[in-house]
Amino acid sequence: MKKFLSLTFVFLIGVTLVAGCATPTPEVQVVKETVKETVIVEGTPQVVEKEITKVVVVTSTPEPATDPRYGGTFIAGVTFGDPDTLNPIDCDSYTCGQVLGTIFSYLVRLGPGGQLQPDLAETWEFSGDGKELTFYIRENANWSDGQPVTAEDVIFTLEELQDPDAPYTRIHDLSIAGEPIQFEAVDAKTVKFIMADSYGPILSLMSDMWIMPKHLVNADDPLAGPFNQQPIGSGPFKFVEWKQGESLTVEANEGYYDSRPYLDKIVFRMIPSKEAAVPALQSGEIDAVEVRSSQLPQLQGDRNLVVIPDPDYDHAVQFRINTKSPILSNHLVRQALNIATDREEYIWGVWGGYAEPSNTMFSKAAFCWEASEPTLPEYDVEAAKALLEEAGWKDEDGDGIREAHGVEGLDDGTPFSFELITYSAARYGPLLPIAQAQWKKVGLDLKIRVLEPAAAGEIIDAYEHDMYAGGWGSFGREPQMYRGMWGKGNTYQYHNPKVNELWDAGAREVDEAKRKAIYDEMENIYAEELPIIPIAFDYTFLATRHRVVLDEAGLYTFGTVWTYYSEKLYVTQE
Amino acid sequence: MTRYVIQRVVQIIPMLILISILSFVLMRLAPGDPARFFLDPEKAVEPEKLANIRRSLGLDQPVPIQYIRWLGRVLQGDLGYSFRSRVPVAEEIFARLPNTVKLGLAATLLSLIVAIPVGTISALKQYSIFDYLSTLFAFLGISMPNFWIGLLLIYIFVGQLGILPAVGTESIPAPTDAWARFVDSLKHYIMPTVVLGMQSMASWARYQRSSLLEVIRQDYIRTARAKGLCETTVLLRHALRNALIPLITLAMLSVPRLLGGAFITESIFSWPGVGRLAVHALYTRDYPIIQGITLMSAALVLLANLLADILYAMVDPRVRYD
Repeated sequence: MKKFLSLTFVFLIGVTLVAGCATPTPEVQVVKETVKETVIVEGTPQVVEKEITKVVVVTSTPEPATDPRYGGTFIAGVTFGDPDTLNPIDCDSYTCGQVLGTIFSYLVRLGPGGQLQPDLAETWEFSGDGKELTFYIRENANWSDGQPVTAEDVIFTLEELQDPDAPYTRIHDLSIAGEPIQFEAVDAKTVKFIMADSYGPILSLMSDMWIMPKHLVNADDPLAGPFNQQPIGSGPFKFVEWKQGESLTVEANEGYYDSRPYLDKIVFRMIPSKEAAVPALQSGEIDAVEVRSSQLPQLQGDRNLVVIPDPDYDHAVQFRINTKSPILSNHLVRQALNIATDREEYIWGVWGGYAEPSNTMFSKAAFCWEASEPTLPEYDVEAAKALLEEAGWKDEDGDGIREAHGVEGLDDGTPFSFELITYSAARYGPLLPIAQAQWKKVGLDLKIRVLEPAAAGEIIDAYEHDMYAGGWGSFGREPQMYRGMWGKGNTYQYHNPKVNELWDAGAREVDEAKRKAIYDEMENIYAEELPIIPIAFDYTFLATRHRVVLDEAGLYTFGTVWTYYSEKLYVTQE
Repeated sequence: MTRYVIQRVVQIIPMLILISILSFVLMRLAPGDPARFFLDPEKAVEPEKLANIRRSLGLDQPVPIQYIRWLGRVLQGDLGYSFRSRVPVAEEIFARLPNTVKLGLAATLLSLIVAIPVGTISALKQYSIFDYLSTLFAFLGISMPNFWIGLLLIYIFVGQLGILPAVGTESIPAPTDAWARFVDSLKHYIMPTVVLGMQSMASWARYQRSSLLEVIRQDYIRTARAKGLCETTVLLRHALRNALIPLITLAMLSVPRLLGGAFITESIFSWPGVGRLAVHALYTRDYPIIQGITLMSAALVLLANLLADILYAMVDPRVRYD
C-alpha cells in the first residue's frame, strides 16, 4: 500500500515537472547599454557617461519569403471582453474598436509615423483664415450595401455626435470658441466644416470618428435598431455574423474603395481568460493576441511565434492625485514624492524591464513630446526630505513617520499618511507595494488598497480618494485628445485658469510649431504643479503566429493594425 | 398529492418576488455605477455626460419606482433591455442558454457515469485498494479549485500537447464533414465538462458509496440473500435501486445550479453560455441582465426542488404528502 502510494506520488511529480520544462532560448532579450549623455550640472554642460538599461526586443522573425497573397482566414484573439454593441457611435471599448476598425472608415486616418492619410476623404483644404475646412469624399466610396457614401452621411454622423444630451456626445470636441461647428453639404460628395475660429485639432479628431450610414441608422435613437447588432460600413471588411460571447466574423468587402483586402475573412475570437489565450495561440487556435510583458516567459523559445513590441509609447502609467486632499494639496509635498520615486524600480519590479521612465503629461506619441524637456528629476531621497520639512512635515517623535507641524488645514501632529488605490489589480496593482516601500524612506506611512473598477470608480467620482494608480493611452499624436483628462470634472480637482487658457490657445492654433510651444509651456506647468506623477510608458506586445504578415514597411501597434490597416494583413498559408 | 403540488407551485410566486426584490436592492447597494461603464475608465468623467447616461438607463428614478416598473414589465413578459447592448434581456439569455444547458447536462451525465460505478465498487469492496484510490481522487476532486484545474488542463493539453482546443464550442473554421464535426465538438466539450463535473463527480461517488454501504446492511437485503437470490440480483434489483434514490435527487437538484451558469468554467474556456453573460453583466453592472438571470435561476431551482420532491414520492412508497 505504502509503496503504491509513493509510486503514484512520484508519477504525479514527474508529470508536473515534464509539463513545466521550458525550452532555453529567449525570444526577447534585455540589453544593458552604456550611453553618453550631456547633463547640465550647475549651469555648465558636462558629458557624463550613464549606464542606461535598454530593452531590445530580439525576435527570430524570418523575412517573409512570399509575396502578399490573397485569401485565407485570420483568427484574432480578443482578451478585453465582449463588444457590447457594434454601433460605431457608441463604441468606447478596446474590443469594439478593434472589430469596428475593419468595418468602418474615417474621413482621414492615422498612418505610419502618425501622419494623417486620406480615408473616405480623398483630399481636403482649409480656407485662408483656417475657419473653413472642406473634405472631398471619394467617388468610389460606398457602403457595403451598395449605396454611395455622401456628405449627408458625414453631416448626419457629426451632428449626432454634437447632441449634448446623448450619452455618446462629443460636443466639446466638435466645438470651438464656444460654438458648435456647422456643417454644409456643398454637393453629394463635398462637405464643408464652418468653424467660429481656426481649430488645429480638427483633422486629428476626424481620424477618431467613424462615419455612419444615414439611411440605415435610426435618427431618433441611433442606439436602437438592427444596425447595432448588424452594422454596415464602408471599410475593407463587412460584417458577417456575431456568435455572442464566442466569435465575430467579418469578410472582405468587394466594394471597398481601395483594392480588395488580402484576407478573405477575419474572425475575432473572444477569450475572456488571458491565461487561456497563450496556450490557444501556441496550439494554433488563434493567430494573434495581445500579451503583457509578464506573459513573455510563456512564449519563450516557441519558434512558431513572433513577438512584436508596441513602438508607439502611447500608453502611460501615472499616479493621479486629488489635489484637494488635505495632505496632498501642497505642491511641495507632491514634488517631494515625485523626487522620492525611483522609476527604475518600477520598471524592473512591475514590468520586468519592459517600460521606459516618463516624466511628462503627454505621451511620446504626441507630436509635442520632446525627449529632453522637461528633464526627468534625479531620484534624490534627501532633497525630497528637505522639501517635506519645508512643507511642515517633520518627524519629531522619532517613529519614522512624519507629522504635521504648521501645515495649513491640518492639526499639528496629524500623521503623514494617506491611501493609494487602483482600479485594476492586474495592471497597476503591483505598483502599490513599491510606492509604499519607496515613500516609507521619506517618512510617509502609505496605505494601499486594490479595488475593482466599479468600486474604485465610485470613490474616485466622489473625490474621496487621495491618490490612485492608473494609466491612459492611445490618444495618438494630437495633444487635444488629452484634454478630456483635464475637463471640469477631472479626478485631480485641478483647475488652473492659465492651463485652461493654454488648452484653448492650442486648439485655436493651426501651425504645429506654434502649437508645440503652447503645449511645452503647459507641460512645464504640469511638471511644476504635479497633479499627476508620471511613472512610465509600459510596453504591450503582439504575439502572432508566423503565418501572419503585415504588408507594409514597419510594424504598427496592435490597435493600429486592426483599426487602420486590416486590408494590408495577409497570411502565408491557409 | 395533486393538492400538494398545486400548493407548492403557488408558493413559488411570492418566493420569486422576494428573491427579485433582494437581488434588485443588493445590486444597487453594491459600489459602482452602471453609467460609469459607458465611459472609458481611463478617461476623466464629465458629470453631465454621466447624468445623461443615468437618465437614459432609468437610474435617476428612486429605487422603489425602478422596481415597480421592472416588475410591471416582467408580469407582461418583458424582462427589459440590457444596459450595454440594448438587446432584450430574454434574447440575450436564450441565445446563450442552449450552450449552458448542453454543458450542464454533459457534466451531470459524466458525473453520474463516473460516480455510480465508482461509488458502488468502493462500497462493495470496502477498504480495498480501489476504495482507497477512489477516496483519494474524490478528495482531490472536491478540494482542488476548478479554475486552477481548468488552467492546468489548458496548459497541458493545449499549450504543451496541442491535442485539445482551449476556446469555444467549435473550431473556426468548423469542419464540414459530419463525423469530423462531431469529433471536433467532442474535443471542445471534454475539458469544460470534466472541470465542471469534477466536484459533483467526486462528491457523488462518496455519497453513492456511503448510501450503498448503508443499504447493504439493511435487513431486507439479508432476507433477499436468505431467499436464495443470486448476488447480482440482490445488488441490482434491491440494493442499488434503493441506494440510488438519494443520489438521483441530489443530481436533479444540481442541474438548475448548472443551468444558472457555470461562471468560472465558462469564463476559462470561453464557453458562450449564460455564466459568461452573467460574469460580464456583473462586471459592467448591467442590472437588467443580472436581474433576469437571477430570476431565471431562482425559478429553475424552485421548480427543480419541486420536481425532485415529486419524483421522490413516486419512487419511494414510504414518502407521502398529504
